[in-house]
Amino acid sequence: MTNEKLLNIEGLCATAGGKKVLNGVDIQIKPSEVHAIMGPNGSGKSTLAHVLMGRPGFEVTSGSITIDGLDVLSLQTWERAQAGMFIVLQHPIEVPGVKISDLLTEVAVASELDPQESLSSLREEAANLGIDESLLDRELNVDLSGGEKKRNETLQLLVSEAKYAILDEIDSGLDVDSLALVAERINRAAKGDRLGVLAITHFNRLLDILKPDQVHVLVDGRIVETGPAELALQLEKDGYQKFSK
Amino acid sequence: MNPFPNQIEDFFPDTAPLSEARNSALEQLSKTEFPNPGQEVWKYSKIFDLDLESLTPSLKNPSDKKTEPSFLDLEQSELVEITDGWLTGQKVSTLSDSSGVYVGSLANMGADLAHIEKHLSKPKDFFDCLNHSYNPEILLIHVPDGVTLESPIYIKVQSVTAGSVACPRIVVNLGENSEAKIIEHHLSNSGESLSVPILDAHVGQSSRLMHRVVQDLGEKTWQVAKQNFQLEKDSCVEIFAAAFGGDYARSEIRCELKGRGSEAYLSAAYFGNEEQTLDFRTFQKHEAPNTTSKLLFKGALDGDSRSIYSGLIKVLPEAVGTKAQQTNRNIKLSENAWAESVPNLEIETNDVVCNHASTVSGIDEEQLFYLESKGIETSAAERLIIAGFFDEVTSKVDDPLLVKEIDSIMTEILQSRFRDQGE
Repeated sequence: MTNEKLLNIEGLCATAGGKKVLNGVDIQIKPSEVHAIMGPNGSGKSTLAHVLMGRPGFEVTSGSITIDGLDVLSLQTWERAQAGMFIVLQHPIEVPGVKISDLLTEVAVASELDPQESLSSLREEAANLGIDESLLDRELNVDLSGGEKKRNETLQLLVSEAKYAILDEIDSGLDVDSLALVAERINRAAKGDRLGVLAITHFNRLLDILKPDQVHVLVDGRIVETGPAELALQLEKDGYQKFSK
Repeated sequence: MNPFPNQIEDFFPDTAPLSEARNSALEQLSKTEFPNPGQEVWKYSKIFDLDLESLTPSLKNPSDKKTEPSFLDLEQSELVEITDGWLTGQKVSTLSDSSGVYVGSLANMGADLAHIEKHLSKPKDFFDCLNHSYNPEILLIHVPDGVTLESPIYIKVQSVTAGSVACPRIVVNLGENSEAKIIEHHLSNSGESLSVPILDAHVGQSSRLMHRVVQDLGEKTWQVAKQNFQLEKDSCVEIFAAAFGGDYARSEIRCELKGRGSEAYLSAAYFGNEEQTLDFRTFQKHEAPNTTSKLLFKGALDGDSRSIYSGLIKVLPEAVGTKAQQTNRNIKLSENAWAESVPNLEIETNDVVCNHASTVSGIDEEQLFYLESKGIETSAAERLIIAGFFDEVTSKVDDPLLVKEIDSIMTEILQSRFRDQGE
C-alpha cells in the first residue's frame, strides 16, 4: 500500500438491505480531479455513495476503499469524515432542534479549531453562495426546500477540511442560478483547494460547469464505460440502452 | 389508613375554618385506603413499594436546618421558601403590597378567606388526604383584578430532613385581567423522604398564569405531586415541567377549562437515569365551548429508568368548538430503559378538533449517520440529537434563570452519560 494521494475504490462489491447492488467497482480519484458517475435508476450510484461513508444498512462484501493509503472500511463514519471524506446526500436528513451552527461548533471542537473562526468563515461562505443568514439559525434540513438543503450542504462542504467530496445528485432541487453558483464554487474548490470530487448526476447541466475529468457509466453495479466529459453528452442523447444486457 | 400520629393540634395551631378542614381530612385519611395495583390511575406505578412506616410527617418547623442550594438562591429578594412543607422564607411578604397582591401564609391573609376557600380542592385520594392533614400552612399567592406582576414569584420547595414526609401546599388565586408567573424549584437532600406537594390554581376571567417547575429531587426522594388548574372565561395557563430527580416522582396535572374561550398549554421535559421512575398523569378537561388545550411532553430514558405518561383529553357535551392536542414522545437511550405512553380521548360532542400521538423510540440511526458524516463522534452526535429532541419544549422556556438551570442540568446528565460510556 502506498501513501499516494488518492481515493481508491477497488473491486468494490456491496449489498443494500441484504440485496447485491455493487458488483465490483473500480474508481481512482486524485486531488483536484472531478469524476462524474452516471447511470440508469437502480444501477447502484447512491449505494456507492452510502458505502463510501459507511451508512447503516449497506454492507461491503468484498473489495477495498482507501484514501491517501488509509483503509476506509475499517473506520467509523465520523472517522472517515475526519480523514477527509464529505458526502452530500441526495436527501439530507432532518435533525430537529439542531442548528447548523451547533453542528459546526461540534465539528470545530472535534478538529481542535476555534468555533468562532469556523462560524465566521461559515457566514462569509454563506454570503458567497447567496444563502440568507437566517438559514443558519434554522433546524438542520427541517422544513427546508430541496434547493435550500443542497446549498446548505455545499456551504458545509466548503468550510470543511474535506479532501474528497461525494455529491449524490447535488443538482436535484436547485434552480438554474443556484446550480450555477454551487457548481462554480465546487469547481473552484477542486482547482484551488485540490478537492477530489465524485459527482453522481443524471444531467449535463451540472457537468457543464463542473467539467469532469472522467465520466463513468454505472450499470448493474459495474462501471461499464469510462470516458472524457463528452461521454456525458453522448449519454444524454442515446440513453443507457446500449449498456443493457 | 393513617400510619401517622392523629393528635396533631399542638403542632399545627391553626384556627377555623382551616382547623376544621384539617380534622375532616384526618378523618377521611383514616378511612381511605392506600393505592392498590388494581387501580387504573396507579397502573405501571411502583408506589406499592413505598415504605410509609419508615417515614414521619414533618411536625416541626425545620427553620434551623441546613438548606439545599438552589439556582433560585440568587433571587433572594423575591424568594419564597417552603421547607419540609413549612413556610420558612423570611421575605414572604415583600411581594405583598398596596395593590392587594398577597404572598404568604393563607391563615394570615385575614378577611378574604371565604372568597378564596371556594377554590380550594377537596381531598379525594390517599395522598390528597395526607397533604390536607399534615400540611403545616398553606402558601397563598393572591393577585387581585387588573394586576400584572412584573417579576416572577420564585418558590423553593425543599425537603431537608431524612425520613420525613413533607406536605407543601400552594394556592394561587388570580383575579380578573391579571397576570403572574410562578417558578418552583423542587429539591431535597440525599436521604430517604417523601414529598406530597399540592398546587391549586384558580385563573380568573381574562387572566394569564405561567407556571414552571423544575424537579431536581435527591435520588432517594419519592414525590407524589398534584397540580390543579381551573380556568375561567378567556383565561390562559402555560404550564412547563422539567423533571430530572427523585427515586419515584409522580406528577399529576389537571386542567379544567371551565370558561368559554379558555386555553391551557402544557409542556414537559424529563430525563430518567439509573433506577428512577418518572410518572406523569395529565387531564385536559374541556367543560366550555371554544376551549383550547395543547400538551407536549418529551422524555429521555437512560440506564434502568422508567417513565410513564398517561393522559386523558375529556370533552364534555357542552364544549363545542374544542381544540385539543396531546403529544408524548420518548427516546430510549439504553436497552433496559422503559417508557410507557398511554394517551386517551373521551369526546362527548361533535365539532371538535382533537388529536393525540405518542412514540417511544431509540436514537434515530439516520440522524446519527448524518451528524457522524460531518465528522462528529458518535457520543457527541448522540448528545446533539438528544438536546435537539428537547429543544422543542425547552426553547419555549422564557425565564433566563430557568433556561440556564435546565441547560446546566441537561449538560451535566449528557456529559456524565458519555463520560461513563467512554470509560
